[in-house]
Amino acid sequence: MRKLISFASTAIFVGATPVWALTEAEGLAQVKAFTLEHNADLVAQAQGLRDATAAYSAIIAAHGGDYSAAWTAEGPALSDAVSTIRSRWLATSNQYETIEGIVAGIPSLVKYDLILDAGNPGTEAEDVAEFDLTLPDGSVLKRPGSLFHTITEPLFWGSDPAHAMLIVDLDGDGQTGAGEMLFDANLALGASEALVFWAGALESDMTAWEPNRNDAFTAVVTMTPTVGDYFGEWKDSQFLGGSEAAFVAQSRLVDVHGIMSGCQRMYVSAIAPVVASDDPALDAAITTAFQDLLALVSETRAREEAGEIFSVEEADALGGEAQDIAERIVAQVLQAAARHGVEIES
Amino acid sequence: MKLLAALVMLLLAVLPLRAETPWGAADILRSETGRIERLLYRAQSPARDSEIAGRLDHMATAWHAVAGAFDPAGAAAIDAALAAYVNSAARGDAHAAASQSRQLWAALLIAARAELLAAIDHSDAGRATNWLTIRDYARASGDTAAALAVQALGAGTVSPADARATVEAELLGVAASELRLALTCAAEDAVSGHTIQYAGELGRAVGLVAYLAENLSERLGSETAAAITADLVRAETDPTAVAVLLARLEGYAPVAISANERLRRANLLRRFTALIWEEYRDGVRDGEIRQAMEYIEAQLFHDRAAMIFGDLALQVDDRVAAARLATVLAQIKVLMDARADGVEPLVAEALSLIDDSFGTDVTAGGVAVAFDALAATLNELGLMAQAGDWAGAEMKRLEAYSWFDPDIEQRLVPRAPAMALRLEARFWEGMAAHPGLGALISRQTGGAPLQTEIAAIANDLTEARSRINAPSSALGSLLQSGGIVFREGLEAVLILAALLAALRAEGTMITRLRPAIAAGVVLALLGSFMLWAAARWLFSISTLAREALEGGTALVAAAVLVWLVLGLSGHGGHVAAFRSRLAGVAQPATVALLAFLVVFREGFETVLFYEALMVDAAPGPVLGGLALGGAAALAAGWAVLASGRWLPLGLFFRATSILLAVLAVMLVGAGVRGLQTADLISATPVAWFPDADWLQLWFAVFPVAEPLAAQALVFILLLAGSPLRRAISGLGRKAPAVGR
Repeated sequence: MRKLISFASTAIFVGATPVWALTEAEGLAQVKAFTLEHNADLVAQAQGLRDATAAYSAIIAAHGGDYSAAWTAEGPALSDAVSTIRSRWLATSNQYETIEGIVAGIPSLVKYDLILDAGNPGTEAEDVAEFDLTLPDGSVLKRPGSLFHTITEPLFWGSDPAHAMLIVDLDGDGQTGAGEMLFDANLALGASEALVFWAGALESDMTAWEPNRNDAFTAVVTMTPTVGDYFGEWKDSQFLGGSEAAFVAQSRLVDVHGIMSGCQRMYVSAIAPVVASDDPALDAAITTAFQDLLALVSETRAREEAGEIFSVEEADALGGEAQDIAERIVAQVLQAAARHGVEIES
Repeated sequence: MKLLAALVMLLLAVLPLRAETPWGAADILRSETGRIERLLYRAQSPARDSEIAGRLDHMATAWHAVAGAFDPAGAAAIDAALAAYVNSAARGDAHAAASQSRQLWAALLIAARAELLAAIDHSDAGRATNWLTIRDYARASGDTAAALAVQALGAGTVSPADARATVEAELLGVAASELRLALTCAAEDAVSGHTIQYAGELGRAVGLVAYLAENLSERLGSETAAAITADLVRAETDPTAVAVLLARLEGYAPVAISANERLRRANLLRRFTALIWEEYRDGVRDGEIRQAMEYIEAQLFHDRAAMIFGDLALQVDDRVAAARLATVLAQIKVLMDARADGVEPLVAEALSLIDDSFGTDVTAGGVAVAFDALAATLNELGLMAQAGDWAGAEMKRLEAYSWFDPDIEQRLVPRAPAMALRLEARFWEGMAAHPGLGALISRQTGGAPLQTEIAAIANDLTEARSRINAPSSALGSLLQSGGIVFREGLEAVLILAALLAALRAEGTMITRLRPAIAAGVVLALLGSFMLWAAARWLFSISTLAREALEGGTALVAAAVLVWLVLGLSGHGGHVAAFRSRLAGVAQPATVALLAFLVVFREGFETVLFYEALMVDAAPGPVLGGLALGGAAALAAGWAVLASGRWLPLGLFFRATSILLAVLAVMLVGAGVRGLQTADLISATPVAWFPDADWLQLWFAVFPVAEPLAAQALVFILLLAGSPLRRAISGLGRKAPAVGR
């Protein structure tokens, strides 16, 4: 599993290399092309995830929905199916993380970020993912939260006990550790199909999106400061000994890097040509700040992956420094926005 | 790990040194101190120490390459701070390094500020822009005033002194906020036992106190400033000193704001906050934008309120209330952006917080606020036009006009009606010789003409302000009050008196029309007061809507009057024919409608004028003036009626016919002009017509093509279809034999 996570994480870190553009129009086009490319990969990976959950559900269904009977009869096949689903989930999620910083920052597309990755269930007061999830058995979950982190991640990794149907020894080591269980096939298939649907819907709207200066500035100003929250989630995650149900599949730092890389890409490609036109010193300062921010996340992730243990103070200091840099970037981008009459949408 | 360290060293060696500029070097120093601080959290190892040494070398190289660009004193301070930092970091002392990295940054800030202000003093905006890169920023408020001031300096639209004041104010404000934040974080770190972070925050506080040293002495006194420095030293070993420091800084605001200035800003804050809901409720219904202009204005007012609160936040003694107000304003923004419900209770809460925080005087608002807001809006208009944002400039023009009318205009009209009229025209099409803001913006004419017009308005406003602020004597109040009612009422009185006189001359029993006229007048007065009360307590009437109402009413009144005049003076010239026609048009209902329209047309605005006059005038003279002015207008009406008793009947009839025709032409001019002011029809100034205040003020004849054309049309209509022609031509001849 560690290798799998490492591979998936590396894909994000490599895929995040920003591209410098000569002109604003060229940069905006590059951002859109990059996002569409990964959106297409997201759709393809989501389809793969759906196929994997369909295979898993078929095994359970073949035994009349009796998880115990299914495990007794086809334990190895189910174990493989769970493993496949998890790897497919990571690949799907990481495709989205690669473009989340861009999608979530564009006002016309932000709803997809809530539905796919960052939204709350309807029981929360704000940032609710506005969609209902219809499951194969016909039941409907009203505004259940984000597909990746509220529904499927806790489901597939067993941190949502309500949908863990049977505790089993998935890895055959004679013990049933954390996450070793069979999960609700009905929910898994319904959520996977929803992922395919919403990833496709995002692709349609992303294709229709006309890149523009306001959206580019808004994306950076909106998404960059979220780094502090993500570090908070990292500190509270099970990777650092916390008890959060989400972010158990891989470190939140992978998400952080994906999102901040998206912000950096948007700045470097689409905004830097504007800022540098009349204030190269400010452009250089923002560019350096993004490099510092990404370096901080990368280094921390590399140390985490190498098994280093972080003290509470150090983890806190890392989050604090990341937030400081992010706030500085936002303030600097706002200076440029004001000078160029750019309207930042909330 | 060794391999990683070697790679880092290699990278540092081959990377191009982006320290050709002081700001580039500052970035390197800040970036490297951050990375070294992270390294110092790790266990000591040769690889770690080697990487730290490499990064310290990188810093030293970057700094020495640009040190000469700084003033020697500033450079020396940076040298000393860098040396102290290098010493700590090289020793692996994480606590000392955390502290001294912040002090190093503060030394850079201090030196950069000196260079920045010197560049501004020399009007070198390009250099100032670069030096402004070495700074701290407002975290939440997104202040951009300093950057915009330097940009405006480059454009030549602000003086170096004004730019310097704006830049200094923002930098000092940010530093004060950062100082409080550093101390607050230090207190939390002390509780959490995060000793390295505590040292870092304390170091930041030490650096910021140095940055603010002069200001702290000025604002808090040298003794308190010295005590703060002593407390910072004590806090190194005793975290309880942090609470003492926060208490010492509780009322500290780095930029001097007088009580009047504080109240002025609070007034503005309250005004803009209240306007958010007034505009939003009309702009958005059921999640949809119903009136785009109102919605945009609501957003503008919110942004303005948030910006002013950013300046005022430190002036609020109750920190909890200040924090809550900041939150409420942010929540309002979120709801407005989502076009959601729930804005009204938040605005109400914000107003309540403002009232509680700044006292009851804050609700006074008033014309002073309008003058300040108008001046700021005109400046923004100029900058937007300069940036080529003509749509934004037009929005600013309308916003500026909404400050002029009603706030300033109502107070100015009683004192200087001609000036009010002229100022109003400047916001719109202006005159042929000097186009107004509306004309210049619609033609996208920026540069000198626009700036000249803005400056001219600013000059007029200065004079208007002095006139409004001049104390009003009892006699002055009496004359102003009388002037209002005479000027606004004379037209209506003359119309009704001339009509009655003409009808009487035609042999009509005008006694049957008197109840109708009385009913129309009373209804109009009631309607005016009801509209005023409704606009005050029930709903808002925008400036443009009020102008449209006034203009539209005038045109309807003109139509009725023309209809009556044409009926009065129909073909034939025989008494029987007149009577026959009059029986058809001069019905009580028609006359009552005319009476209602001519009084209601001016009624609402007259009530507003009196409301404004009562702000700084005693009731006695105002009421006396009202009685005298009303009596004078009525006397004029009586004179018209009475003249029929001694003038030859024919002459009297012709004279009243001409008077009615003139009044109808005036009504048409006022009506078209009102619709132009409401931005419903275009306005084209003409150079060939006299531009005289008295013509405009008393006869509603403006040097503008559209109202002149409409007036000419009505004049021709009356001339062609009536005995107006005969009245004019017969004035010098014997009167026709019309009977009584």
